[in-house]
Amino acid sequence: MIALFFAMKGEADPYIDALGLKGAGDISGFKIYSDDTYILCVTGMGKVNSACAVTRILSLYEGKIDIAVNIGTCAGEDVGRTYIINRICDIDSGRDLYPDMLYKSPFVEISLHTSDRYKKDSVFEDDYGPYVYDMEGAAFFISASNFLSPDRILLFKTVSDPGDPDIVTADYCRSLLEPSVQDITALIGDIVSSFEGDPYLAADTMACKYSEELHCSEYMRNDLNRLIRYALSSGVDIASYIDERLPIRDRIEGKKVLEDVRKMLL
Amino acid sequence: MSGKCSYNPTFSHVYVEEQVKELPLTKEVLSNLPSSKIIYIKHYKDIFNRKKQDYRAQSKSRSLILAANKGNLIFKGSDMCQDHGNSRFFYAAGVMNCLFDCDYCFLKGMYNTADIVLFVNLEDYFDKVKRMLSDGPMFLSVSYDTDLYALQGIADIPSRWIDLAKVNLDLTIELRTKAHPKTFVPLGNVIYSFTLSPQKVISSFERGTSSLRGRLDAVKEATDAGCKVRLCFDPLIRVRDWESCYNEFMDTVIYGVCWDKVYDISVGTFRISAEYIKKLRRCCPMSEVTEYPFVNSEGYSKYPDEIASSMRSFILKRLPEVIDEGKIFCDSDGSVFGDR
Ligand code: SF4
Repeated sequence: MIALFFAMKGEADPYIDALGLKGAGDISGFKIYSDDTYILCVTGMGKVNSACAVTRILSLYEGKIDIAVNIGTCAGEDVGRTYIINRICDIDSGRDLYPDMLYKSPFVEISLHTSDRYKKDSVFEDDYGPYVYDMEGAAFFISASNFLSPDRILLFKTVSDPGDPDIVTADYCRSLLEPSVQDITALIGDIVSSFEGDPYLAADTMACKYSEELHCSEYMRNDLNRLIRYALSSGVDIASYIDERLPIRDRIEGKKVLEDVRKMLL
Repeated sequence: MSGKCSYNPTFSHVYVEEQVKELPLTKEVLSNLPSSKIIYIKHYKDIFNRKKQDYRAQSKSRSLILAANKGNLIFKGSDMCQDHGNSRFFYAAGVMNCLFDCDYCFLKGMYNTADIVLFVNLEDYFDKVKRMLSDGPMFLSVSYDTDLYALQGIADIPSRWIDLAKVNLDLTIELRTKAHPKTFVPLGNVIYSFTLSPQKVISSFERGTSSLRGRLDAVKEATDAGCKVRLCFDPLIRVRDWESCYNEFMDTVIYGVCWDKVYDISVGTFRISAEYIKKLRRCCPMSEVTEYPFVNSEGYSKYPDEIASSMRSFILKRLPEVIDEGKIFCDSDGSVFGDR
């Protein structure tokens, strides 16, 4: 599943509409919209809200979320421009955070500064280069990092104002984010479809089947699993080898077959 | 969804510590990576040590980190390292991780990332070595836990070490590689070490490295230039048809090398710290080399003794045909030395 996090409903609306997501009530007070592929959460503004929502959703769906994405508006120089974030500076703690930048994207990369305070000046460059500014990104990233690897945490920010938060309304957010919905959802979809499945699935399924046939104890099961993984990785047809020895009456016979498998393989 | 995503090319992103941006090696590297995105950072650990990194994903688009090493620069070779009879054996930790991608590499067990740190404060390393030389001659492996020649397209670090050796005759350096170095400098105190593996092992498990042909050509160039050359049959890898694979390999090597010019040889089977094997398998799942049912003994995962010794003997019985036995060093006493 793809988890999308927005600070404000106005930012989420273009995605709820474009993806046809349905309202799915509240989770711990956070509004949720979803279908079989997406879970979209409106976190509310600020670092605490963002951290709570991300932690709550990712722990509730632990193991089911493939990627977490934070999308929203930010302060910056180039109003209307959408960026992908390659560095996040948590202004309040001084900590720097880095998502992996593994995938080609149509968006320009930039640093993001996050603080709970509104930005009311128009300085968007420091010793490390140009940046944009928001109130959630660092908290989102820190929280998501407890659940996902840094290649599976993405942030997209569209500049709404050059340090003038009073002009940011729900309608304005919607109009700013709408033009990039297509590109962002396509990119996320492509990234998710490039994730590899469980490399051990075939071996583990086979081990499960034959551990029954061989009447394995737990110790024997681990042994069998290791031998099957080795056999499959080196192109040996271990299934036929065991099948030829079936049925196996009891654990003593099972142990003997396991020893034969080992001798054959090593 | 329109299809699978494209990965950024290797080193599309270079993270540069603010403090090193003016160093000559930083400038050299960046000039060789003109299309890379440069991101300035405070400390390399902010990237290198992130939690929950996914080696397999990162290995498809590796990043480079340029940093200053403020910790230990030169380490004493452990008792487990093959020192070829050198009592003052050290290695330089100038790079963390390796651009090559060998399935069996212990670095995968050691680090949590596929990204590579290149320490660009080479002068600090040189100063340290010069100070250590005042205590007597030393043997220094400069690409012990990386392959410096893998990075030769972006930084000529071996030449800088060779220049140091040129004016410090008590210093012997070893440059170990699975690549084909572009240049060779014949000096009595510089040893070029080539790891040789069957082409099947190279193609399956040593991604990015030079072919066997390329390595043998490099050996020839080095011996022709009058360089000291060490050949490493290490790690020997137990592939399914290993006898025919290594037999064919030894035929190729025996006829492809000018043996009277070879300085010495090392032979060893694959073994790795038992702590690392779990992580290694996570980085290279379902690889014939990592999934082997190793035995654990004295903290190491290795082939069962009878298998390891039969593999060693197989190679050792061919070598006396071509080289004086006194030049052969071997891990038959059970010594363990990293990936090699
Ligand atoms: S085994 Fe050597 S060449 Fe291969 S990845 Fe490791 S350090 Fe590099």
